This record gives sequence, C-alpha cells and structure tokens, in this order.
Amino acid sequence: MELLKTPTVVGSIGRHLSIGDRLSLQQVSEEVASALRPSDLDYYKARLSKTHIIYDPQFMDPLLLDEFDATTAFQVRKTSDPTKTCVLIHSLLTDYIKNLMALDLTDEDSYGSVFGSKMISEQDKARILVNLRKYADMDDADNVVYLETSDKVQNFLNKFTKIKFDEMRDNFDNQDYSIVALLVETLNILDQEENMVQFFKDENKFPYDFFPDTILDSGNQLDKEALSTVIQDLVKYFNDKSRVIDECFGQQLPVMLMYMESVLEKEIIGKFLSDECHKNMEIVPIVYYELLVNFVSNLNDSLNVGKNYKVMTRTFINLYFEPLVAQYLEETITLFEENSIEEINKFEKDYEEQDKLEQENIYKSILNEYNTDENKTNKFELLTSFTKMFSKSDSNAEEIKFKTNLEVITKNLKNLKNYINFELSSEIINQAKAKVDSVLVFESIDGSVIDKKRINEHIELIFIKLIGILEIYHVKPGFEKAIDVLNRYDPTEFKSLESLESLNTVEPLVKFTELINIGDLIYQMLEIFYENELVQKKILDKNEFLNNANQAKKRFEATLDNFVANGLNIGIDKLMDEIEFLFNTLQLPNDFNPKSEDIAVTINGPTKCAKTVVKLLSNHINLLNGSTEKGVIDVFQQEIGERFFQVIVKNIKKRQISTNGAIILICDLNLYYDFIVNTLRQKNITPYFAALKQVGQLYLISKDDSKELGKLIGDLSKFNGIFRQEEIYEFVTKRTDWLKVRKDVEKAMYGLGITDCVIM
Amino acid sequence: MADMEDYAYDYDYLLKIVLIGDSGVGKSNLLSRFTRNGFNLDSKSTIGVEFATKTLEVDGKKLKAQIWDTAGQERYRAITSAYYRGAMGALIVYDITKPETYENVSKWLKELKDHADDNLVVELVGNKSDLEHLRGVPTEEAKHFAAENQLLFTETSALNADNVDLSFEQVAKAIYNMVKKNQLDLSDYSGAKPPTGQTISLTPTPGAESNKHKSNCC
Ligand SMILES: Nc1nc2c(ncn2[C@@H]2O[C@H](COP(=O)(O)OP(=O)(O)O)[C@@H](O)[C@H]2O)c(=O)[nH]1
Ligand SMILES: [Mg+2]
Repeated sequence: MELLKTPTVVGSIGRHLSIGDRLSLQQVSEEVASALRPSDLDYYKARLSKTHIIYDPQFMDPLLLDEFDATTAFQVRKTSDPTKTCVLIHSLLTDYIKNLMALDLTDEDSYGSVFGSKMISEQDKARILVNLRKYADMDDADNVVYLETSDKVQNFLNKFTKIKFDEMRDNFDNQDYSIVALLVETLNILDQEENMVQFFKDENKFPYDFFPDTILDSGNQLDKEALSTVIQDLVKYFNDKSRVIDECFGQQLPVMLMYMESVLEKEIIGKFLSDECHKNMEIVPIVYYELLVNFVSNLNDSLNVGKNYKVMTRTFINLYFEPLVAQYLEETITLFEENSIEEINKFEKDYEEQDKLEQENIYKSILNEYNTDENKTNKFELLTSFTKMFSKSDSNAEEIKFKTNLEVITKNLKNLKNYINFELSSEIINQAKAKVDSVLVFESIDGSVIDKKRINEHIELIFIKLIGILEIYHVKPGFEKAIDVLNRYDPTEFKSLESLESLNTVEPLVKFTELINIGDLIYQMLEIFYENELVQKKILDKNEFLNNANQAKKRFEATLDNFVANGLNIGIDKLMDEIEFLFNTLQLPNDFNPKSEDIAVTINGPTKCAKTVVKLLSNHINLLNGSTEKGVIDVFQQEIGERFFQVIVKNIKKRQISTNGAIILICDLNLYYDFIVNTLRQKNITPYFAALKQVGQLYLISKDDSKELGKLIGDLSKFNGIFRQEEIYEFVTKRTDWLKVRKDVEKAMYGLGITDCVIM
Repeated sequence: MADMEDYAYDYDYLLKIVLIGDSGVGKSNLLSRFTRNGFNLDSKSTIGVEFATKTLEVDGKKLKAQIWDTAGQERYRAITSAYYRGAMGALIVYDITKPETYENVSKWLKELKDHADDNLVVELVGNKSDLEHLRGVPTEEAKHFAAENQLLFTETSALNADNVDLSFEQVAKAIYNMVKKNQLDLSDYSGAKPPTGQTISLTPTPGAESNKHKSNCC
C-alpha cells in the first residue's frame, strides 16, 4: 500500500477505475481522497460527456437529491458540478446495477429482483432500465467493468423488451387494448417505436383475400358496383384499424399513417388496383376518383393521426397513383386512336363483304336469267363461269356484259352514300366525348394529381386526334372513293330512249350530295363537340389562331370543303353531260325548223326536250339545301346556271332555225329563263338567260330585214355584253336562210361581205 | 300520251294576236288571266316575247288564238316587224288609272299601221278597271276614240278577270267574221309558202290523214 502514498500514482490509478471503485478508493484515507481530488473534475466530466450532460460552471444546479430518483436520474441536462452529479446518478442506480449483475438471466421469474422489493410500475421499470443502460455506457473508465456491465444491461434490456412484446401480442390477440396501451407506453420508453409499428403491421397483415378477383365485368369494363364495394370494404377496414390503433397507441406513436401508407402502396394501389387498371387503363380516372373522394371522405377521424389524417391519406394516394395516371394519360389517346381505327377498318371490311355479296348476287341472278351450263357446274366459281361466258362467242355475251355492268354501276351508285358512315363517326365522336369526361374526373377532385393545365392539354389532344382519325381514316378515303365512282360514271352508257324520257335525276349527283350531307353532319357534330367540350369548358380560346385544336378543326373544314367542291364539280359535270346527252337525243332536227305544214303545231309551248331538261335540272338544284351553308349552295346553283347556259348555247349552235321555228326556240328559251328566275333564283345568272331570249329574237326577223340583222348583231353585243359580236354572228349563221341573208348581214357588219372579199 | 295533243290539230283556225301598249299596263297579266287564269301582283316586265295559246269556239268552229306578248319597247324595227308579221288581231292596252298610257294609244296605232297588215282587227283595252277610284281615263272618252278609229273597245281587269275573256273573244270573233267574208282571199294564203311563210296567219284544218302522218314524223 506504499504506492497509495504517492499522489500521482493514486491519480493515475483513479483515472482507470469504475465510478464505484473510485468512490471506494476515495474512502480509503484522506490522503488518497486528496490525491484523487485533482483529477475528479476531469474524470467525472468525461463520464457525464458520455451521457451528454453538459458541464457549465455558471449553471445553478438544482437540489439534486430531492428531485431525482432511479427513473429520472438522467433528466439532468447541465451541471456546474460534474462530480456531485455523477456521484448522485451513481447513488441512484448502483443498487440496481448490483442486483442486475447478480441476476441469472435464464431465470425469468427472478427478473423482478432487479428492481428491489418495492412495487413499481412496468413503465418505471423500463425507465430504470433505460437509465441503467445509460449508466453502463457512462461508466467506461474501467474497461473490464464497462464491458461486463453494459453487456449484462443490454441482455437484460433485450429480455425485458421481448417479454413486453410477448405480453403485447397476447393482449392484442385478446383485444385487451387497454393493456396493450400500457405496454405501448412501456415499450415506448424502451425506444421500441419502430419495432412496435412493425409489430402492428405484422399483427395486421392485409388479408390476402380482401379483394374480389376483379372489378371488371366479362367485357373488361369497370363494374362500378364491384368498385364501390371494394371502396366500402376499404373504408370499413381502415376505420376498424384506426379504432384499434387509437385504443392501443393513442397519440403515443404514429402507427396509423405508416400503416395506411404501407397498405396503400403495397396492397391497394401497388397490387390490386394497379393490376385491374392494367387490364383496362380506361378505368383509371374513376378508380382514382373513388379512392381519392369516396374512400378518403368516409374515413373516420383518427386520434392517432390528428387533423391531417385525410390530407395525408390523399397525399399518399396521389404519390402511389401518379404513375398510373401518367400512364393512363399517355395510353388513353393511343387506345382511342387504335380502337377507332379498328372500328373504321371493321366497318370497311363489312362494307366490302356486303359489296362483294351484292356483286355476286348480280352475277348469280344474271347467270340464272341466261341459264347457261356453266351456271350449274361452277356454282361456287361465279367469276370463273362469268368470264367463261364472256369468252364464248355467244350471241348473248354482249347483252350479258351490258346488263352486268349496268347493275354493278347501279349498285355502286346506290352504295356511294355509304362510303362515309354517320353512325360510325358519331360513335367515334362519342368515344372521344367519353374520354373527355373521363379526364375531367381528375379536375373534379380536390387535391387532384394532375392540374388544370395538363387536363386542358389532354382534352385538346383528344380533339385533335378525333379530327385526325375521322379525317384521315374515314372522311378522306370515303370521299376519294365516292369521287372515283362519280368520275367513272358515264351517264350515256346505259341509257335507252324510253329511260331518257322518264329521266328524273342524275343518281351520282344525288348520292354524292347525300354523302355531303353526311360529311356536313359529321362536321356539325365536331363543331358541337368543339363548342361544348373545348370552348365552353374554357379549354381553349376560339380566337387563338395558332392553337393546334383550332388549326386541326380548320384543316378538317378545308378538307371537307375541298371534297365537296371537287365532288360537286364532277357532279355538275355529270349533270351537264346528261343534259347535253338529252339535247343530243331528245332535241329533234326539225324542232326549230318545222316543215311548212308543221307551222300549225309550233305554238304548243316548249319542246319536249326543253321540258325534260328543265325537269331534270329542277330535281337537282335543291340537293344541297339544308345541308350546307348558303354560300356553298349559291356557288353550286350559279355554277349549274352558268354551265346550263353554255350547254344551251352549244345546243343552239348545233341547230338549224327557221323564222317559224324561232317561235319554238323562243318558247324553249323562255322556259329556261323562267326556270332561272323562278326556280333557281340566282340573280347573277339571269342576264345570261335574258341575253338568250334576245338571241332567240334574231331568228324571228324576216330575211327581208337582213341588212338590219347585220346592224343588230353589232348592237346586241354592245348592249347586253354577254355575247361577243362573233358569237352573235355565229348564232345568226344558224338561220335556215343564212346563205340568203349572209351577204347583207356581213355588209352591214363589216361594210363588206366576206363573200365580196373572196371574189376580190 | 299526255303530249298527244301537241301533235294533233284540235282546232279549225289558228289566229295570231298581238298584245301591245305601254309597259306596266297589264298585258302579261291579261295574257296569263286569259290563258292560264292566273294573275301575278309583282310580275316582272316582259323580256323579248312570250307566247301563249287558247282555243275558242265561234260558230261551232274551234279558233286557236296564238297570242304574242312583248315588252313593247323593242328598239329594233326588224324585231318589231317580226312581232307584227302575220298578226290578224291586236289588243292595244292602256291603264285606266294612267292617262299617259291612254295618250300613247295613238303612237301604238301608228306602229301597227307601219308594221302590220291593213286588215288587222284592233281592240282598245282599258285595263285595271278594278281601280275605279283611281280612274284617270273616262270610259266615254275612250269609247268615243275607239268608235272614231274603228276599234273594238272593252275595259278589263286582269286582277278580278272582268271582261278578260270577252275582250279576247271579241277580237277572235271579229277576225273570224272577217276571214269568212274574205274566204276567197284566204285560199290564197292557205297554200303555205315556207320557208318564207311568214305571211301565214290562218291555217285551215288539215285532213285527218295528214294528221296521223305528222305524229309519226315527230
Ligand atoms: N289592280 C290591277 N293591277 C294590275 C292589273 N293588271 C296588271 N296589274 C298590275 O300591273 C303591273 C304590271 O303588269 P304586267 O302584266 O306586267 O304589265 P305589262 O308590262 O303590260 O306586261 C303588275 O304589278 C300587275 O300586278 C289589273 O287588272 N288590276
Ligand atoms: Mg309584260
């Protein structure tokens, strides 16, 4: 013990002693105590620093002894006297440490001995244990003691914690939630927050059979009732859990939100709903809506979460649902496009099949009519037998060919208006409308994952796609086909004289206008869509010229107008072909040049040809009424008027007209004029027909007035401005007495007769 | 079938009658009232010439009146001549509410004298008699003028059809009587001389045989 007399030696020994041992050494003698004293401050400061108790010389320490016990030993945060504080903590906890060190950890029944004979609560036990742990950590000057003590404390702490979890599980299973609540308190003291949350999750595994097999019906469409049941079940499930959580955890531990988030992420959205949505992306908006609105709003208040419960739940839903929504937005338009095109293709296929069938029926019936041998032998090879029939030098062959062509053409014309289908287009437009409604669901939701701007862009995109699909895949090819049929139609090909007299309409023009009507109806529907879905919902500004949707609409309009213009042009061509054909067939050579005895009949009004022509025209001029705008109708009717005028001029120039025949010609021209004025009613055109009336009068003039006739030709061209002088001259050459009047006429016109020139 | 009559001679004589008078006096409406029993309150002024026919019965004979209606403003003598050529009757129409149209009657008479046949039957027609309250031309004065110039005379209303048929029938009858009186002369005309046949104004009924022949030709 000599050594202990040397203060430096004592000091360095003391530095490596546990708190208990150092205090014991201090008791040995006054010399030892004073030898230790210089290092006390450093020693105890080092201890306290392990437990984060701050040394502050200025600090006013409370009366430690009175205020602290083993459960609260470490509540001190600051001290001006580390020695005193450390010694105090030691004194509060040393008995427990001793008890613990003496404890046999395998003997759970003796665990109570650690805490002495006094009855204390489980929470206090936990607090003491936590403090023992801190003490063991702090008491690390002697490494051997430190390792031994901290090891034992930790082991015991683990055992104790496990026992508490076991108890919690038992009580949880028995639904003794008030006891669970106490255990939660204890475990909370033991810093078991995470484990407890995990425990709750483990104990409340989301039932694997919670959801139905699917919420889609057999047609892969959303079964709204099934979805609603799922939502109700979820509400009930979470409200149950929330009640339990509130009872067990109160506000001690944020279990509910963690539980909610994990189930939403892993089970509800991540698994079930995501699977269902991937079966049919179209259900995304409504599923999202149900979840965010009907699920969230029916959740009961949670004590555990507090007032942010619903807001937080929405945040989680948005977080985990967002990828689905993004995918939906991306795919829904592609899907729309694919489906629409598929529908259009199906329509066309059906149409072609129907067309083929009709064609075969034509072949069949004609074969039957002519009842050839091939007909019986080659029943299933109509075309083959047909071509065979043609190749035969049968006398019937030409007739059969003619009949077949006629019927095929008749069929094609009849079907012309079916090239564009209103129902199909309307169906596609309705689908687009449904798409808009779907995406608008997102707008109706509070705290929606996509904002107004994104929704607007999406709706615009739907509209642009819609227009593009109808334009490119349906309207355009439809009109192209129709125009092709129109183009190939030759009105003169299949006409007999009888059919001419009863000719009422130019079928292709009539059918084409029906097609225009359909095209116009489709445009009107798009216009309504545009107004209702885009303008009224303030998705876009009508006047924004550069806007893509506005441009797409304009383009569609222009396409339609183009086809209408092209088709009508061809239609008018055909109508005029037909009229010219009538003039060439029904206008008889002597119509305006009756033989002398015929004069008596001359006054019976216009010729049959003129009446037929006017009847045919009358049947066509109003084709467009009610379907297109006034401007288009005017252009159409004026074009008919102008072209008709030209055909009449051509017809007159082909005729020989006598002075008596002039009366009949004038009757015809009056009829044309009346038709223009009273039926067509296109004022711009009237002067042409008035001019024709004047031309008619040229033929009334007696040959005795041939000189005046010449002057008149010059005057008339100046006066009405419709015909040039040469043209009026040409008309006059159609007089039956032209050769007799020619010289005088030319003299009056040019001062010299052309014949005179020739002679010169 | 419906057009059969176009080719059939369903009359005994064909008469050309012209309607003349100032624009707006009601010529076109007299014509449409007579031939179609129609009236048009805002009829457009006539351009060129319009024709209409109606068959009348006089003395058991069918007279087919071929009536020419013109604007009456033709600036070309050659055309005016064509209008009057072969005409056997003329109605000079004035508007009883417009004295100036009545005053112009002499101008029209002169035009007839210049262009038409001397044997022409002329009737003075005061139209719009329904507008009695606006009358500007006394009936007696017109009647007197007609008598002096050997014209037939009536006042008509195309609007309410008063005297319309009568005025045309009266002219047709006078022509017929004149023709009967000059039966011999007529045979000169009946020879028909086309293609210059502009003087033919009255055509006798062709025989039934030639009738059939005509139908075939058309
Ligand atoms: N009140 C009345 N008006 C008439 C009568 N006849 C014609 N009109 C009107 O007078 C105008 C000119 O008629 P219109 O037959 O064209 O005369 P035109 O130029 O001589 O052919 C039209 O507005 C007719 O409605 C009539 O008898 N009574
Ligand atoms: Mg007139």
